[in-house]
Amino acid sequence: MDFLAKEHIMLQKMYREFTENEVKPLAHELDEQERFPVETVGKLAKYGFLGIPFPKEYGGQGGDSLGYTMAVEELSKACATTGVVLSAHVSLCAAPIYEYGTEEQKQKYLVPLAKGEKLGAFGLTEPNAGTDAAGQQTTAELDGDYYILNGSKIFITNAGYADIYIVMAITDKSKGTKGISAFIVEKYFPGFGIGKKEAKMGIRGSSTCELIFENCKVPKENLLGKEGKGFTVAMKTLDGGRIGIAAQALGIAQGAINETVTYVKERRQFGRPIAKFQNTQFQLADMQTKVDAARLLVYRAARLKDSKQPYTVAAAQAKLFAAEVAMEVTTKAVQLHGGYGYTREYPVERMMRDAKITEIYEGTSEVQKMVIAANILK
Amino acid sequence: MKILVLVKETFDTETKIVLENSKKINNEGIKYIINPYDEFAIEEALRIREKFGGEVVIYSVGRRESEVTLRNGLALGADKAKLIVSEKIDSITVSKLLAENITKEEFEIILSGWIAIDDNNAQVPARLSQLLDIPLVNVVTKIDFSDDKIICHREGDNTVEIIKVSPPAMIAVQRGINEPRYPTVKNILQAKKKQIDLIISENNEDINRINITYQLPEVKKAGLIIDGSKPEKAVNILIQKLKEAKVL
Repeated sequence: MDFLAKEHIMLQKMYREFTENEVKPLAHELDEQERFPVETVGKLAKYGFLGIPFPKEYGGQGGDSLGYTMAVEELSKACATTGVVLSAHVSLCAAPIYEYGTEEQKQKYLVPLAKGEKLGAFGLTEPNAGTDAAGQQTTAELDGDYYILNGSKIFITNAGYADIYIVMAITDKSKGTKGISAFIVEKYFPGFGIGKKEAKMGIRGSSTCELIFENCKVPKENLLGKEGKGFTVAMKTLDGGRIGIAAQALGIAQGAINETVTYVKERRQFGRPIAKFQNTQFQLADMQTKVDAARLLVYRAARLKDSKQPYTVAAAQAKLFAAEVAMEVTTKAVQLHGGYGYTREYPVERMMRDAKITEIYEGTSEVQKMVIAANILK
Repeated sequence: MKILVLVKETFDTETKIVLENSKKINNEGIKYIINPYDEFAIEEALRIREKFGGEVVIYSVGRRESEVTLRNGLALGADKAKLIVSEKIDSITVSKLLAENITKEEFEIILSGWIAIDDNNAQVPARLSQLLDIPLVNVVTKIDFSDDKIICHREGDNTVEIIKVSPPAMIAVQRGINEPRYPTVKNILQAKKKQIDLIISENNEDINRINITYQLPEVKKAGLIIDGSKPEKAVNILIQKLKEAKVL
């Protein structure tokens, strides 16, 4: 896009080369074997991906949200699993510590996260608290110098591989959402455990597990933000996370178009490449136009965040649109591949499975519509 | 240790070249990159700096806009860049311009790729080292250091030549010497703050004697596929075609 600054174009070039050489060759295998890309995480750390939008004094790269958003997009073009590993780490774990953490918490947790020495995750969802995030049941009771956490979280991205978890728990049941607090939990805190790993439709290389807290002792200095402010921390964190997931959806969609372009030029039917048929051309025209529109929404949300303007609605719109475009475009990409598209020999079926989650996690499309409509009707 | 790296801006290998006329290539839509062989030279320079400390300075001759391409070299970690702006970029001109400016520098090593992928001339290392009166080791696949000497490996089919030279020396590197790194995000973001000196070349009479014209290569004709369902017939057609092409 022509309006990008030189440095963003240079970042994009590096992300593309990295993705082509380090991410794309693994994508199929990670999906087939449902294997977490441990080796890629090390490389992401080495080149600075894990700390793009954080200042250098906290171990980051001194970049911005747009630069980070573009990284998730480029990685997701080849491998949505790798895209979400980065997005969950940066948006859902490092970002809230940067936003709400004390100086001590930043030094202790944000620095190693941003440097990529530690991997992060975020725990909000529970079996009975999905879209209704206020229905939390995990509790945290103050006992001397520790909060004692009990309960469980489900569908936690990066679980099992992450070192640091942002976890929401109820500190005062009588206060509803104002009784929820956020905590920084390290993986080896006593009473913390990883439960069942989910078998998923897509992003199968990403680790999605249950978190279990059985009298888990969390030092009271690990309270993130003020007591009772956890719901705000969670909602604001998800605002930022949505830009990341929108970028993931955008990447998946563009990746599917790129694969389709290669395929339709090679695949011959009725004596010519199927790219010569007007149906193919018109489908591709629609697909690329929608993806470009999604990109504008996603970059706008990132730009708003970078310029410290309100971005909640823009992020919701970006995620809603990019996710739906990703689903539509990947479905069409499979259709244009015909029977081959339905086989696991070609990556578009994986992309179609991967695209579906972007309409669900970090706020379903319906939740995004609630956010957008509430703003229109306010 | 001060290392100068010669970098040429070339066309991306996937770029389709369009001529405006026989003297000028149409710049529109052309993607420029650092000559890949020069990327090996940058990488080697960075590795030497990591071992021994010092400074890596990129030198380039070319159009003013190539500053954008040179930033990629700075993003990889080079300390600064000097761009000698010149319309003409034939090897004679480039070598002279480089020599005029590099003479003013103190340095231990000049590194470059042994060839550029656009004109395949491979002349600048030889010409420049001659003009500077320093040794050249060409097509090098490994560089070591021992007792103030630079030890260069050159690979033949079944042999390795090992050549020791004293600095200052020019070393032109070959593919395989290293695996160039990606720039880190931090280095990319810092690249814009690094210095690129623009040097405007003087209009030199010698230089103006050199004239270059361009033409596009002929388009390759599509291959012929002979129907192989009846082998005897196919063989006869093949023989006839080979005779027509004067191969038989």
